[in-house]
Amino acid sequence: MQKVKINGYCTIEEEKRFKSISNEKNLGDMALVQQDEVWSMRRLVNLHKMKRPIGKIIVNIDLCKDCRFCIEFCPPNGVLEESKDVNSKGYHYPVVKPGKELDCVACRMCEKVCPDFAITVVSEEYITYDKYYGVSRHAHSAELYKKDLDKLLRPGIHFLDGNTAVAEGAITAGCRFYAGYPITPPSNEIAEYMSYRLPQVGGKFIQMEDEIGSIMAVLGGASAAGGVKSMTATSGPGFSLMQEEIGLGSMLEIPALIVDVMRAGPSTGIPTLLGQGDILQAKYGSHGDYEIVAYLPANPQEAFDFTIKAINMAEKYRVVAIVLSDQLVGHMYGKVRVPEFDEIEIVERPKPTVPPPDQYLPYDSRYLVPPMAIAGTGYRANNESLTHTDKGYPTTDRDASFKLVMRLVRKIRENEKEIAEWEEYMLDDAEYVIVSYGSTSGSVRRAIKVLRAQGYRVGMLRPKTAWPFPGWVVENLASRGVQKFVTVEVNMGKMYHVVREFSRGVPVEHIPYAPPGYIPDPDYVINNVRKVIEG
Amino acid sequence: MSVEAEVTTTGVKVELPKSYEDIKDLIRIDRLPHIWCPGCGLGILLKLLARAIKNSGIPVEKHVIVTGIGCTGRLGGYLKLDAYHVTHGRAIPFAVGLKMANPELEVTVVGGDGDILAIGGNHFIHAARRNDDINVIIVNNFIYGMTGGQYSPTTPKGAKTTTSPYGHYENPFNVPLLAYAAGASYVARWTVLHQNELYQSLLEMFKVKGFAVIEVLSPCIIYTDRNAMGDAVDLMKILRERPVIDHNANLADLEIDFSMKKIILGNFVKRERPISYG
Ligand SMILES: Cc1ncc(C[n+]2csc(CCOP(=O)(O)OP(=O)(O)O)c2C)c(N)n1
Ligand code: SF4
Ligand code: SF4
Ligand code: SF4
Ligand SMILES: [Mg+2]
Repeated sequence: MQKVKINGYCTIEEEKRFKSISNEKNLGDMALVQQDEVWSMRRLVNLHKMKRPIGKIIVNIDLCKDCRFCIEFCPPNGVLEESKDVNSKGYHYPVVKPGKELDCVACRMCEKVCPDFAITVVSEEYITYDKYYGVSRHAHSAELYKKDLDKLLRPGIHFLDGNTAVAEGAITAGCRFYAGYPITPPSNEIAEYMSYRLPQVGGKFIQMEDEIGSIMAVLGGASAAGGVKSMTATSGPGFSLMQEEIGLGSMLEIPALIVDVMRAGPSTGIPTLLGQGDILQAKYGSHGDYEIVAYLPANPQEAFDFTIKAINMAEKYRVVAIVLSDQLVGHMYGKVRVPEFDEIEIVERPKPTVPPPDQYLPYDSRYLVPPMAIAGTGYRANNESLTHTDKGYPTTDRDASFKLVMRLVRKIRENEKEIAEWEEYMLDDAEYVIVSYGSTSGSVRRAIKVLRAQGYRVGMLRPKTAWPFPGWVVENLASRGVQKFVTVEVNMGKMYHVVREFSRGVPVEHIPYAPPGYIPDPDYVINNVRKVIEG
Repeated sequence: MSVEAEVTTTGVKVELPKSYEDIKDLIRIDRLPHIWCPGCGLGILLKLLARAIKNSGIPVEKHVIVTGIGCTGRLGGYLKLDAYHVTHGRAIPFAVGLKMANPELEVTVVGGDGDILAIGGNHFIHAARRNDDINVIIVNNFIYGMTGGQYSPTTPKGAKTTTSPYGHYENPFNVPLLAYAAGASYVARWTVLHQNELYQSLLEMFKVKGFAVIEVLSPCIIYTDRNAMGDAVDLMKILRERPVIDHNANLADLEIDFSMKKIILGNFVKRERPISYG
């Protein structure tokens, strides 16, 4: 038997090959950066191996009548153009645009839409993504970071997984401190990636001894000099451990970000597969009254965007913000557009306007969101986890307790319309509304297309923020005469309860037994929604 | 020649060689092959522990294994005993509860360096301080194996891991010194290669009244890979060539640094201390 020597994620032979390629300066995706500089990091995606077909167009020139179908309907768009020449009948015919020879993915759409048998596609060759993308579009390439701009991910189009998108989003939003504890699914692409990226941008990374330590370090980091934006990432078991400290963060009003890449539970569950079971815990997990903000990204682009928004909301309202991603979103690769930096809104926490130390009240109830003094700037603030007065002194006083806790919840409740975000998909005339979020919404979107084609008037409400939940949208739909709400989520019914709270008596059904770990596929959604509709 | 042939849950027909006749009723053959990587030391410990349990003089029904989460945490599931696979870091307090509720049980915790010393570190020192009458086997592979190679509390300074891509900044625990200082009654360190010594030490551990700790050094390819140490065989070679056995070693000298030049093994501590609730 041949002995294959496994070294990391590739054989020794492959390793040698990678190393030799990486010496050619112009290449630089993760695989190569690893080999070159920090080769102890894992290879995230092997762009040298991942390949796709390249199509070759064969046009039977004289059959073409220049309807332009092939040109217009080519999915990668812009592969084909009209020829300068004309055929024997005087028609222009399709040719591959110069420079686009590698862009044809051999999908055969042109062939399928051609009314005249004039175009066919053959595909005998493959291209690996490193060659196709070239340096500028490599995921994770050191070349990607604009050196003059603090080594941030360059504006433009990138190809990232959801977890890396979270990490880059956080860095873009100004996060410079990460404390975490390894856990599947987020530990590799977020924690490991941050251990590599943060030092490049002047930030710091630490791996703590557990998740309680991690969230505490994050709260400390966020309180320290300069108000370093701080984050941690975890999954179900770690998120459960962090709950007490979410209460602390809410009480001390420390802006912090927790990314929970949800996996299948309960308990250790299925670490490598998705779940959406932490929705309620995110808001109700700690004791007492407090409010948080939580986003629900459905793809890598949203993972990037929502991480920035979550950090902004944390800063703006001085709350703990949560990105409730899930395993599928985290591991999904997709296009991420990074806007020009001046187009990205970055929010900073309110800063004290009074001079230190005596006039400053750390929990000044004249504000909804009091200015935040940073440790070490002379304000000498008493930050108190006991119920406290405006001055931060412990109290058992009735009024003080009321004033404080009311403010903690009002911060978010009074601004819920401003914070909440959602997508309405084919809702205009919908009689049946599917409520879905995160990775699951992809299946639902597909299912709705099919159900619509079959004559069912269905649509989707996709909350982009779990908290605050856009309850008024549900209320409006209910009073508009929607027949039924159906929740599709990878759990036994969580957002289901939230929808019921606002459904004004309109029945809500949960698609049963979406087993944690497995995304309900479109067929499953279609069949079950049909059952719900037909009763 | 085989004594046992079973089509397992993994669909593979597994035959245990005759030499395992003695422990075949202690291994869940229907779960083989196990999940561990080629060259992982955990399989070796599994066999040895099964044998020690068999020959401990304590009826096998009285043995209970408690494990947390990690590659090491999977070990209990391959032993045909009462076994509890609990949450990450929490095996020790669960074991303490078992022992308190029924002192007749022989309770053994098997956990990784991360499981026992990071997330479970607090439970570890407090169980040692109270001198709870349980056994703890810490499989030190210098890394978080299960989650793919992040640094652990025993990762030596300078080592590259997935979360220390520029080399680890922190100092590792000296495990035997920590166990002793916290109050353990019995402290030993062996490697999975030191079969006879480790076996004797396991037997001894079952006899000890009080908190007994054995640190077992074990190769993990996730660690060797990141540090250009070759594969598991190369680390096993280090574990064969470098160790010095010194039962009377100064505990303060037991730290293992990145070079692995000095690896001291032995049965370092055996002392009488009052045990908790005993
Ligand atoms: C609360 C919680 N946090 C994190 C994890 C993820 N996790 C699983 S195993 C493990 C570390 C395992 O390392 P170690 O204990 O050294 O065992 P090994 O795999 O090396 O044997 C971690 C962090 C978890 N399961 N639960
Ligand atoms: S095969 Fe697809 S990608 Fe290629 S030219 Fe035709 S439509 Fe465009
Ligand atoms: S990762 Fe390491 S400890 Fe886990 S099975 Fe593989 S070799 Fe063993
Ligand atoms: S190569 Fe390893 S697993 Fe295979 S027989 Fe030898 S020791 Fe056992
Ligand atoms: Mg370990």
